[in-house]
Amino acid sequence: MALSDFLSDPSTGSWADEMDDLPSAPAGDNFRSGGFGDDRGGRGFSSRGGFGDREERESRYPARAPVELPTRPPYTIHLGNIAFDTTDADVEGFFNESKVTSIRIMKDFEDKPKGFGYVEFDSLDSLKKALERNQQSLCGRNVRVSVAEPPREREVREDRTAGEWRRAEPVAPPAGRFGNDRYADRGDRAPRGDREFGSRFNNSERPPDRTAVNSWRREEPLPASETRPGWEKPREREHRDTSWGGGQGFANRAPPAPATRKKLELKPRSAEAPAAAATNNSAAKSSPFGAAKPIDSDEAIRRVEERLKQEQQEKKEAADRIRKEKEAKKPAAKAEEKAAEPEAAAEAQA
Amino acid sequence: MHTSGLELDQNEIESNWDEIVDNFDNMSLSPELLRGIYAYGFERPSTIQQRAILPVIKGHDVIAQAQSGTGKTATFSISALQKLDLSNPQCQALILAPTRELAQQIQKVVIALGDFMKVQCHACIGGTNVREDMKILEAGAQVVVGTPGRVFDMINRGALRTADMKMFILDEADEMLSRGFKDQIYDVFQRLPPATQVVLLSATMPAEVMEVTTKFMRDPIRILVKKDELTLEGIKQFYVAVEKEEWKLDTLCDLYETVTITQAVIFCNTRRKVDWLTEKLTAREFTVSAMHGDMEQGQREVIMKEFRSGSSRVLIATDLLARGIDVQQVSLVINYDLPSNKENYIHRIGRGGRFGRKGVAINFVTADDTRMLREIEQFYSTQILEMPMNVADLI
Repeated sequence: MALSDFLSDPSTGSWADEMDDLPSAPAGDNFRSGGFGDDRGGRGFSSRGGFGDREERESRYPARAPVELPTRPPYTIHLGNIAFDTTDADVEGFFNESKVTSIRIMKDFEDKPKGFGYVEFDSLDSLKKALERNQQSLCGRNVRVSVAEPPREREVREDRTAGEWRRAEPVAPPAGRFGNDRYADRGDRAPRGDREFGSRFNNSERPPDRTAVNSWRREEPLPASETRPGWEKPREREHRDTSWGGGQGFANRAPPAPATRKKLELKPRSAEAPAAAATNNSAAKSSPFGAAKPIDSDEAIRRVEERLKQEQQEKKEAADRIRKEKEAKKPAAKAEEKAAEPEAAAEAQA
Repeated sequence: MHTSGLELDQNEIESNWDEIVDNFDNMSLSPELLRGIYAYGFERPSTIQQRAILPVIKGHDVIAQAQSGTGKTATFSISALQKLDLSNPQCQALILAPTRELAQQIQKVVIALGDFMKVQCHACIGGTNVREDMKILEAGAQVVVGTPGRVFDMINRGALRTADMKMFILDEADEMLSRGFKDQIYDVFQRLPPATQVVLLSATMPAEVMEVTTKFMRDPIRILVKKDELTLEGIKQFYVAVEKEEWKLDTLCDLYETVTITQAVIFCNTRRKVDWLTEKLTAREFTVSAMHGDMEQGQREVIMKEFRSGSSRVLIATDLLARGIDVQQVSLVINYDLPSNKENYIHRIGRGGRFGRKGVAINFVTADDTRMLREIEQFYSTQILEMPMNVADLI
């Protein structure tokens, strides 16, 4: 896949955002050699100090469990610690014993290589062979080869929203000022079943007029075009060919673009440019505005904003006044008697 | 491609309501509300307002789709305000929106329209002080506009009482029922009285969302727009062939003068790219501001305020600002990156050309984006032409 393919593929758009926060990709379990580059072993580079950041992070977060071998396609490995000048051809050559079906060397939108990539193989055997290359040298660096996270199974998690959404029973009128757990010792709390999060799971009594249709929960993952790539966690989409362009294999590169950019020769705004106005009198489409004209609601909104600000200010001033009054009383109270203090403390707590 | 089946489905679902009332005076609204509507600047209702306000007031569950910037917020705000029992201080209408900025904007519209009704409307959003939120809610807010997380939290803490709720309104409903939010909406649903009226609104209603609605809508009134009527005549759509990703930055700089004719929003697909682009443009001494979800709430509010007041003119943003945000002086939207789904294309370009004003959308297209651009054209039966060099005259 050409770099521009990857960059322009919005389904991988936020990919970079997310990966940076994750611990490094797991190395293939059986193939770990504990070499210099293997900073996850805990006894390598990182444990010698000086890289306190990572060390600290590792002590807080144990290394992720290695990813299990996939049982069905895509058979993809994560290729880490690669040199910045590694090319697709280098990678393909490196895995010459396996049949490579796609290579993605990750770069950011400034064209800087990120030092890792993904390689997809035609079969599990190819993938296993590829794992044997872990910690071997590619373009002068010992690279890390590990099983890539599989596309997440979307249906694994129980879909709580599969049944009727509306509750069956009326909402109990609030018994006290607060219903939350901090006031659990108050006797007037509503019955637990009403408040508890879990109650909806056994929400079996449904109003008779609302026959719940459960068929909307799919058994299989959604076909690519029905999903919305932009709203998913990036890792789920890595292997999906979205309908939004750019899912092609790496063999099918875009034609080379011209080497230099042509500057936009924009004309200046002409003097007779019409003022911004309604232009919805076209007959082609029925106007969604009806007889409505553009209005200037900005002023109305500004008035509201000012009023809200003023109210806030007044509230703050009132609060300040009360505090000041209290403070003013304090020295006097102190001078009088110390017994006043616990009272004040109790007040503050309340 | 698997789109054909989807499109078929979408075409099968049709509107089932065509009564219209083309005058606010004939909607049997309370005099105070009517006064607020006219004071807000409205004279006549837009198409969606003509069609949807009445069925909502009558208590039907309603799915209302309408083009961006054609008055959906006012549609549900007017309906909700009309249905309030003003003698009851408790929350009667709950409005959820996908972003804090949109929730705050809606709150202001509700307050402005309800100016003469003495209505209490609170924006219940994340990133603000929880205690303060609880205090305000316990004091009573008849309309609560919020984002799902904080609202659910407030319900859980007992600060937001649901017993008197009559209406549940989901703005940007397709986003709210998409995977990121669906569970949260479900959780809120479980806390509402069984008879709560449900109103959904958005410019886009993909088939899979329509399907989800069967889980909680009761014989809904559907007011829908066919997808070939979703793009607005007033918003001209162009593309610039930038060939390579690396050339986008220089291309944007060439355009900068045009960009600053009025106000503009530039969309990138990731938070980091927003930061990156902001940095690059600032280094070249272009004045821009940036907005995305990683920023602290206080900062987000300042940026929005500056942009709304016009003191900042170019805002670089993620899809956080794709939906609902209404800044009337925005007439140019640039897709530095094409959006990652077809719905958000419509929402993004709808940030310009609000309520019948003119708008221009410019898409930066690399060689590899061409296919995606053609798909968008086809999907919405619209035309995206190469940007003419006199584009400044169109803004």
